[in-house]
Amino acid sequence: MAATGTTSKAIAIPQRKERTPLGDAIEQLLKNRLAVASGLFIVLLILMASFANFFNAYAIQGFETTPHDPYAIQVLRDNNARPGSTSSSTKLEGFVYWLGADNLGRDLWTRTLYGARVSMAVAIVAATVSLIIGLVYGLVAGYFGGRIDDAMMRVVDFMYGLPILIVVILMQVFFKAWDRQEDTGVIFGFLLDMNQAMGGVLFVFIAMGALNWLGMARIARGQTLSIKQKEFVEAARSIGVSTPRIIFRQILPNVLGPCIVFETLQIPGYILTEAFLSFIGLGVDAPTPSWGIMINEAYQGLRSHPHALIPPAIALTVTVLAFNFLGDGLRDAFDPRLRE
Amino acid sequence: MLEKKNVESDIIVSVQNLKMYFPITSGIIFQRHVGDIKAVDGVSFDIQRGETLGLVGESGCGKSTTGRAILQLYRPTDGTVNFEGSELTDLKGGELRKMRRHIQMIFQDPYASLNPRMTVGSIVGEPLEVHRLASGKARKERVRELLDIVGLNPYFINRYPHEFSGGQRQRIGIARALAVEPAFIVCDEPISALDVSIQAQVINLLEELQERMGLTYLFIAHDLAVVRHISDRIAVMYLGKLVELTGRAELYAQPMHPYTQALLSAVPLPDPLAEMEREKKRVILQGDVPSPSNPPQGCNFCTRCPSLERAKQEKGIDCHTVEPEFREVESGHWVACHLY
Repeated sequence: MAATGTTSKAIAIPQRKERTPLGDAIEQLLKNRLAVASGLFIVLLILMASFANFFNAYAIQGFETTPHDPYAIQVLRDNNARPGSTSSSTKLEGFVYWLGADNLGRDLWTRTLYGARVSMAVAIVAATVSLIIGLVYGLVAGYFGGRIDDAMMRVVDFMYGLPILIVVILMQVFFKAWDRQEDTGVIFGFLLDMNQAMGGVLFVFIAMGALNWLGMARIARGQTLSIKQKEFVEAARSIGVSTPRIIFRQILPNVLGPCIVFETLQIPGYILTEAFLSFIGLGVDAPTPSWGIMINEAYQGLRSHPHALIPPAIALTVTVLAFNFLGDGLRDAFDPRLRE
Repeated sequence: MLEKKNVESDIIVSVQNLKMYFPITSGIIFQRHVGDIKAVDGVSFDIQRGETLGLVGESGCGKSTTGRAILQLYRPTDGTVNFEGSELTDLKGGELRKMRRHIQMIFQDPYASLNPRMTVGSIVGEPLEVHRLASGKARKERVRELLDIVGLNPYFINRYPHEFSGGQRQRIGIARALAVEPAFIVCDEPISALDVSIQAQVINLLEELQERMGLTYLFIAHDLAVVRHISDRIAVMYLGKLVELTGRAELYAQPMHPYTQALLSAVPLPDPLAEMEREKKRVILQGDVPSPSNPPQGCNFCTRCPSLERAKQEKGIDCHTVEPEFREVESGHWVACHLY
């Protein structure tokens, strides 16, 4: 063949191992130390939050009676205990407050750890829900364009116009009103039971998931609009690829990068929104520990026991940073052009 | 219908009175239809099995739009496209996707026509997957075979498009088009984005493949030398209409339409003496191409034609009012001009 001169087979080309785009992305991500460290931190945090009862001093010391749970109040004896001081209660003899206690004598380490449960759950669930809804909505609006796009994006514009916090508050008021009804029906009853079991977190999920996909939808639509103009989409159509397959196989992988970065940057926002909702009494129910509640409580007693502010604040900051680094790493990993 | 009127079966693609108008709308909420961009305005031609029909014309004259309208990537406003007895403009959805197996396209920009997130293997294998021609190991084997056919090393199967040069990428695009063993390929300026040295390679590859597989090409280009090299017959397009259509030798030896004459006289010659000689006879067109949203009355070339006076004197026809018919003035030589 005359035209094959450029790729003579005499030149040995090292055979590469079987590769998939996802496999490549993971491989690339593992080369980014900061992202790996952040990812490990997040995984570790999730693990520690999931098995929080194994990670406090009480459990480690092997006490079998009443594990030192985040709700255990030692008022009058241990309130505002300094970090490192030993419990003065006879029942908890020998127990060391690693990070001190809050104004009700609750162990700050334990509460911070349990608080990670709420924050992590909110971060993951709200991010996943908004990513999925927003991506599909934006992809469909962007790909079909025209009137469908107009109608779909006007809905988004309208919802953007609503003051989100007020809507969330109204939704929470609505949910709490269910709580007082006697006959709630099967589905509502199940939701209420779930919510109670989760310490009021479920309704925070629903309220945030229902409203936070708007930004995602806009990003996904904007990306889709630019990607669908590319010739490879036309090439796919000329091959005979069906529309859903074009949207999800050709366009989605090209849209995903910016969306993941955007979503990762939203996560701190979700964590803070949850904290705010909890503060005004419409989020997580009171004794359930969350970093937002802890920061607010510590803030109120900042002069008398400033140490109480440090654990949740550091936990929040480090987690936010970790999500940012991980987001950046993911963005780089999903873009083959950024590889060396 | 064109040259061999009695051998109907020889015609693989028959385009009749093809029109592609893009609507111009204005208004924010209610889109009023205020006009049309007449990108293709009544084009008719037949393509014989096994031939290469060159389609030339300057930028924006509707060459690519014609190619895309034949493939139904744009749905034509009017006219018919008959491919081996089936009417493409009537096909929809699944039927059309099935038909796409037989008609393929090679795109202009090899940098935009390959999905950057897919490996070469999945790009070339996609048509096989979509049309269920091969799966699993057989598909991989077929992809390797195709890469070999277009002169790429089969080991490249797991690489991404950005790892290749422009010429190699165009070969990938050709392999993708060949995967479904089409009968007819629209080549939309397949070499204008490539280096001159690479252009020859790709042209030779296309010719070789045509010979081996009995392909039929519609070769869209603006480089007259390339079209002359590869085409059996050449159609010249101006402002959405065909002005001349004839065999390659005939067109270069005896161009009839004033536009074709001007176009051919603009091709530089590699011999400086001959070039000096030609300089005296060169036809230089005045003015610009009119807007396709508002083409001139009568002959669409009348605003720039150097032969208006001649037409008036010899035939007594005012080119500004009477539109010339695209007709066969000599055997196999079609021209849209009042002079003939």
